Amino acid sequence: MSDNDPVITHRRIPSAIWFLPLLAAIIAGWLVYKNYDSKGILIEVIFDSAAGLEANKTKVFYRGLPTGVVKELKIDEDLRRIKAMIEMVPQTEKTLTENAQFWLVKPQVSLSGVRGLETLLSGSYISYQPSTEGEPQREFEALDQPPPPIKSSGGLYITLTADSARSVYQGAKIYFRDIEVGEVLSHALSADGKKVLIETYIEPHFTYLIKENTRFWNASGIKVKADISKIDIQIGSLASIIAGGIHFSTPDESAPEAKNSQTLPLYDDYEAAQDGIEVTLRFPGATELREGATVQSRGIQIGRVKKVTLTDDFKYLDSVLLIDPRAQDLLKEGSLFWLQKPELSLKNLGKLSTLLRGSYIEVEPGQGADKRAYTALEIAPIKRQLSNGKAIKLRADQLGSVSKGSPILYRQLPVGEVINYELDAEGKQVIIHAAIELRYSHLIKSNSRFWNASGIDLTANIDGIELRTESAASLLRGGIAFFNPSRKASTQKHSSAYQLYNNYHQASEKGRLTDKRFVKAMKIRLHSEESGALNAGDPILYKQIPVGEIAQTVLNKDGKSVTLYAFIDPAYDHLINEGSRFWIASGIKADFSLKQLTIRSESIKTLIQGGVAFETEFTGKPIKPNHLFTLYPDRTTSQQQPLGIQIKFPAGKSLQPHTDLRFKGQVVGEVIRVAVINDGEGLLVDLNLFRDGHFLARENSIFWVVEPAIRLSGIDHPEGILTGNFIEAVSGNGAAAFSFKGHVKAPAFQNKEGLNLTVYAPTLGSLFKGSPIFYRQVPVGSVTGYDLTNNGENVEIFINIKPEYALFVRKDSAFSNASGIQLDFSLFEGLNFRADSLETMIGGGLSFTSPRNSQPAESGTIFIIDEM
Amino acid sequence: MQHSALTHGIIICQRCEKPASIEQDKQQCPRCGTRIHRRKQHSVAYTWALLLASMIMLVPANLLPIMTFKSLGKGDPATIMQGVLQLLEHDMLGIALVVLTASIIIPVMKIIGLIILLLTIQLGWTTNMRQKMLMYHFVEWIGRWSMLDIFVVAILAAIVQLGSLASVTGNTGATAFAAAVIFTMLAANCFDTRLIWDKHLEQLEVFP
Repeated sequence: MSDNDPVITHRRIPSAIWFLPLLAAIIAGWLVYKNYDSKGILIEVIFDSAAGLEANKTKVFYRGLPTGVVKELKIDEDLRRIKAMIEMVPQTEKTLTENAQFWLVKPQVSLSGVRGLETLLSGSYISYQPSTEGEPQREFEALDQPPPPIKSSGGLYITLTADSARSVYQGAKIYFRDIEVGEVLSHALSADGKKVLIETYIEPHFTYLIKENTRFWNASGIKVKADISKIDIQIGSLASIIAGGIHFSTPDESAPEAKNSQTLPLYDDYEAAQDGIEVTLRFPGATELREGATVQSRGIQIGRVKKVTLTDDFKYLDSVLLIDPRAQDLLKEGSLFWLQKPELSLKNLGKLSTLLRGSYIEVEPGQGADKRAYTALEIAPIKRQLSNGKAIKLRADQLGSVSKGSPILYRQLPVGEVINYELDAEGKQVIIHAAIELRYSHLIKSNSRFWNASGIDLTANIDGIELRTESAASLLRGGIAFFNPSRKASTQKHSSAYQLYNNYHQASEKGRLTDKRFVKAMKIRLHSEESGALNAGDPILYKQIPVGEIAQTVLNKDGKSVTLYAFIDPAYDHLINEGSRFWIASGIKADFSLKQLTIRSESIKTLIQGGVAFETEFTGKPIKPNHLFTLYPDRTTSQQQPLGIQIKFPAGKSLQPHTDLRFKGQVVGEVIRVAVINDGEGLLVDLNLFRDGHFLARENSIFWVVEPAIRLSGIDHPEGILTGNFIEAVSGNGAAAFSFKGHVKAPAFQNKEGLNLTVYAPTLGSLFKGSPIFYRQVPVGSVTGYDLTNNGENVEIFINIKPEYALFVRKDSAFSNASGIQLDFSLFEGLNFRADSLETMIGGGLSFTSPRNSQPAESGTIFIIDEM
Repeated sequence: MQHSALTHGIIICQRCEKPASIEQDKQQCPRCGTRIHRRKQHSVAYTWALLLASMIMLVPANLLPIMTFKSLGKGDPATIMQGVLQLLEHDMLGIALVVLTASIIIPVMKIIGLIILLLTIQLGWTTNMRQKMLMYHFVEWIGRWSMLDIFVVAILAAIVQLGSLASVTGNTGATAFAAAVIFTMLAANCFDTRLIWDKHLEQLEVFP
């Protein structure tokens, strides 16, 4: 081996490959170390039950962050409790002191809130409240329920005191203007057990809202205040509905801010939280008063009943009222309190609010020093002091539906109200006290008419149904209305006691007093035997148009007749003059004759209601007011204007009322009454002569009874067969007379128009009254009568030739009997049969012949027939 | 069986398997230019080192969670063994066995197998040569399957990302496990099986 030979030295340095396991070891070591470094601290927490706990599953959360996990669950040695081995994250090490707290969170769904909702999916978990204070500790006992949040963070902690913890639970929020500003931390009973202490927390940036005088109230749930006037629903936020909530307000913002741990009251509700003056009021024990009832003064709510307690001896009911400070002036020595109970009655329905609200306490302000304790009156004071307005008294027979507080209405506007009512000293009338507001007092006049406007005034008549109500309010609660008649109004004096009429019609005399038409209306009087169906208010009709109205019907002093006072509408004044004829238009008038049947009625209205109609002949003179007219029973009568006469008839003829009196065939009168006189010797007939027949009321007028007669030759007075006998008359020419002697048959001689002649004949033959007179076999006249001559030797036959044929009778005319059949028989001429006419063959008649050149006969000329 | 190529003065290029004479030892292969060695260089030392690294990495691989499977917010990081136990809890015995085999038994078996082989060389054990060869081939063949777990974790972590519904994330355990597997494979690769026979022949004094 030379020196130059390389010296081969074996490197003993380990190969670089050995860095690899070293590196691996370092990495693995670091990994493992790191992993085990993140392994937590093992602690023990003791639970009452392992329900919801699961090894390796159940975690510990702090503020939502997992800070540990249950590694193992063990049963305690005495088998009573569960030990949970929990591995906490290392960061928690310093907080695991004796003050740290653990509790199990389970899902809780209750009305007051939903908590631990996340545990529904993830299962229960353990919550953890760290604490850095105190000795380190590794064994803990779990709490039954979450601990109250510790007062560590900034913000304000206030203790609220309340009577009950009603729906204020832990976690309930505190709201200000519905913004969440804090929450209830816990609630607990006070030491004496009389109050509930509610610990609350206000978040730091809201603490300035809480002052020393801040008033908190419980706004849990929904509060509905239903009132007749409004429905007030106070709803907190949805959360506060479910979980309850507390609201607050600060009446005086300038008050100093509240300090930590300050104690403030929690009121039951918003109203309670509002400030009020407390007044104690003592009631009799049996009073039905409930808390919350309102206190009112003249309808304005000034407070409410805060508390009602029965005294120990059960005799009294002590109530505490909370009065609005603004109503402080009402609380004086003389103030009166009483319980106003709602009365359930129809008239009170208008005050539904009272009914719904129930009883309330009414305050009558008084004078004097301030007072805070009162004894309530048992009943409302009889006469309330009138604060303003003019007092009036009304007298009524009955109270009707008027009640206290009923309005006084003028043109349906309430101008006052009924204060009270009482019986007068004798107990015969009711005196109603009412007050009219001052600004309306001028409306009350001496002649004001008051009526009870309560309810519905229903007037049903043929005009229709008139429904008169005052305002709906008075309809329900009653009321008194008044008006001032337009005439003789005087504002100066006014009497304090008025008559209260039952209804408007009475008060206004059927509207007349209020209707200006009637003030100017023309007044007339109507004289009538009877008022018929007429009443005040019935119309005066002219051609069936109402032009006026009957105001009054008055029985005359003699008791025999009636005077009706009527108004004629000024527009129709001109229709009335002295020639007006009035009749009662009531009812139906039927005229029945052989020729026609006339049924006449006035309008249906007058048919039922009655009325007065009139006609006027415009030739009459104008009348003065209060002119007296005669009121006829019907229209015909008014036209006829009958004149009463009396006729004494011998007995034997049948006459009945309504029998016609005729003059020359025309009806000019009517039998009114038929009376038998003198033991049946005669008939006393009262007749009315119509206006056309007035001329018959003269001396020498002759009246006789005409009977229908049936003869061979015809029927006399056929109409009489149906209607009965009638009376015929011929007029006399003497002085006026009203009593006559009647005849049973027509007077033998009657002057008729035309030529009246007398024929003397030995016998009457077959003639009768009415037998025709023929001239050349043309009937030109008739036999008007016959009689024996005075000496009895001849028969006087009165004949009448119609005027147009009068010229045919001459002084030398020869009359012959044209009755029957004339038979001449001779041997040479044979049988000569002659008859004038068939009529004369049966009924007889006279015929005459006249020479050509003779003077016309004059009336009264006597002719002689030699043989009949 | 008492001869090897080397005893006949023949070596072979590791890269292109060109036979060469012993004289060409530590020279470049005329064909591919690779330096030719009669045996793999530092085979035993490399294998030991890699094996050691693999064994070290197996510790965190089994102690640390390899994967976190979260479903609906529930789920914890789980180690391989916890995963196997969870599968067993869910009565999935087959899969549990596969996971157990692939993730725990095989890596351990591989390491043990390689240690035996290494000891065989170093201590000159000459018994059961054929079985040892068989064992080596098995170790080499099974090595790739050991990555099964890693593939599962990788695929799941890539695919199962359904937000809060379900999510899979790999953990450090998986990295460690992968490293362990890779080290074992490298170790198996570094191991030169011919050394086993060399020793045998050496004892028979057949080497020149």
